[in-house]
Amino acid sequence: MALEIDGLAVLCAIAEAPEAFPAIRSDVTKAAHALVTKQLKAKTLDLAGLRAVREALGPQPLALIVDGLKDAEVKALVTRLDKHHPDLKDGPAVAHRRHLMALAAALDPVAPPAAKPKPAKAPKAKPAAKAAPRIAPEPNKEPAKEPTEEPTEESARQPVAPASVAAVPDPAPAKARPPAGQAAPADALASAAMAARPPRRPRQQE
Amino acid sequence: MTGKLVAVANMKGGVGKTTSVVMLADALAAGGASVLVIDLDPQASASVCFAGDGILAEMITGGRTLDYYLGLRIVDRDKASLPDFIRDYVSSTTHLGEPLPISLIASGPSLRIVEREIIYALTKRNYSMHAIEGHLWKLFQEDFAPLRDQYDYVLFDCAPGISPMTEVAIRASDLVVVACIADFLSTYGLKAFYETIWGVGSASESMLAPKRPPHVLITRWQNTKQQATTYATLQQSAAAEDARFRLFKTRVPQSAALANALTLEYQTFANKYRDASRDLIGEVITPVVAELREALDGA
Repeated sequence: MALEIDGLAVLCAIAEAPEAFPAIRSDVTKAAHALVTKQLKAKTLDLAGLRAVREALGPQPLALIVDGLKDAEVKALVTRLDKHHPDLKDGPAVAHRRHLMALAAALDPVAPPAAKPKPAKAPKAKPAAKAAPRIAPEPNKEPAKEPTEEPTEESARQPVAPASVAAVPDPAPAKARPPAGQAAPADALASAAMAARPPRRPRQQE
Repeated sequence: MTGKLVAVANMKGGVGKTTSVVMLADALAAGGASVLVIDLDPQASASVCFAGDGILAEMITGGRTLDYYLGLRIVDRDKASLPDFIRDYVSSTTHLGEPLPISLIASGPSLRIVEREIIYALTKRNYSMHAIEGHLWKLFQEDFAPLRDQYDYVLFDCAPGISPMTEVAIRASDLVVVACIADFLSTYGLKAFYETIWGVGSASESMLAPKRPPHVLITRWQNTKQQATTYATLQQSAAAEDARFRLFKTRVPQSAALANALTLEYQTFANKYRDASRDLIGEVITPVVAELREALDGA
C-alpha cells in the first residue's frame, strides 16, 4: 500500500488532463517556475545537469526561467559553471544570461590555465627569532604577470572571449541606473534631464 | 505593415497612464512586436522610464524631442522629419537575451511652453481655434499616422488635462485605453473625459470623433469595498445595450512589482513584472495584451 503520492506521476497526470484542474491553471505555471528555478539554483548543478534541464525543457522555456532569475543568481551560476572565463566577472547581466544559455546548448567552458611550473623552493629557513626587519623582498613575491604561455591544444579550442560575453553591448550602459541596493542620491530633485535645456531653434522668436 | 495607433489617456492625473504604457510596450515588444512610444506629456515620465535620465538629458540638449520637433514644424515652419526624432532600442529591458524592440519619441518639460507657442503663433497668423485644431490634425495625419507603416504598435502616453496635441492623438488613434482607478474621483473624471471627447457635439469640422468608444482599463485595483462597488457599477454600464464605453475584464492591481517596473533596476522583462508575491506577467499582462489585441482586431 502506497504511503505517499508519486509526485511525478501526479504532475504528469495534471499535464495530461489540464481540463480536470481549471482552478490551479496559474498555480501550475508558478509551480513549474519554482521547481525549475530551484533545480538551477541547486549547488550540485553542474554543466551536464544544466544541459539535461535544457534537453528536458527545450531552449525557450529554459531561457524564460533564466530571465526570471535575479542578476546575481545568474552571475553566481555562470561563473561557477565556467569559472576560468576571463570576462564573466565584469560582464553585464545580459551577457551572463546569454553565456549561460550558450553553455546549456553546447559551448564548452574555458579550460583552466595551464599550471605554471613552480620555481624550485629554497629550503625554508628557520624563522629568525624576532630578527631585524626584512629589507630584501622574498623571491616569490614578484609582481604578478599575465601568463604568456603558448596556448595548449586544449585551450586553443576554447573560445577565449566568447561572443556571448565580449561582443554583447549592455543595452543600458550609459543610463543613470543606480545599482540595486545603492542608497538614493542625496538630492531628491537631482535630474540631468529636468535641468537640460533644448538648443535654440534656428528661427525661434524671442 | 499597418500598425495600430493606441492612445492611453485620461483627463485625470495619477491614474496609471504611464505605468500602463510602459507595461503594454514591454509586453507587446516581448511578444515580438515592434513598438514606438510617443510621449505627449511634458512631465516626460514615459521618456525617463525608457531612456533613463542621462539619455533623456542628451536628447533634450541635442534638440531630439517632440517639443523641439513641434517648434520647428509648426511655430517656425521649418522642415523637420519626425523619424529623425525617434530613438530606437531605447529600453534597457531584455527578453530572452535580446533588448526589447521599443523606440521612443521623447518629450521634455519644454513641451508645455511649445504648445503655448503654437497657439500664439497660429493665432498671430489669424487662425481660429477650429483652424488651429485642423492644422494639428493635418500635421498628425501627415507626420505621425505614417509611422504605423514602420511599427506594429504606436503607443501615445497622453498628458493629463488634454493638451491640443493629446486631443488630436486621442481622436486619431485606433483605440483609446482609458486608465482609471475604480474610485469615486477617477470615475467622476471619466465622465468629464467622455463628454469632452466622445460626447454630443465634441467632434468638429476640423477634428473627427474617435473611431471607437473608449476602453477603460482599471488600474491600481485594490479589493476594497468602495472599489468593488465602483467596479460593479462600471461593469453594469459597460454591459448595457447602449454602453458608451468598454471595460477590460482584467484589472491591473496596485502592486509593488508594477511600481518597480518603472525604475531601471531590473534588466529582464521576467524580473520586472514578477516578485516574490506576484506574477504579473501571467496574471495580468498576458490577459490585458490579449484583450487589447482583440479590441484592436475589431477596430
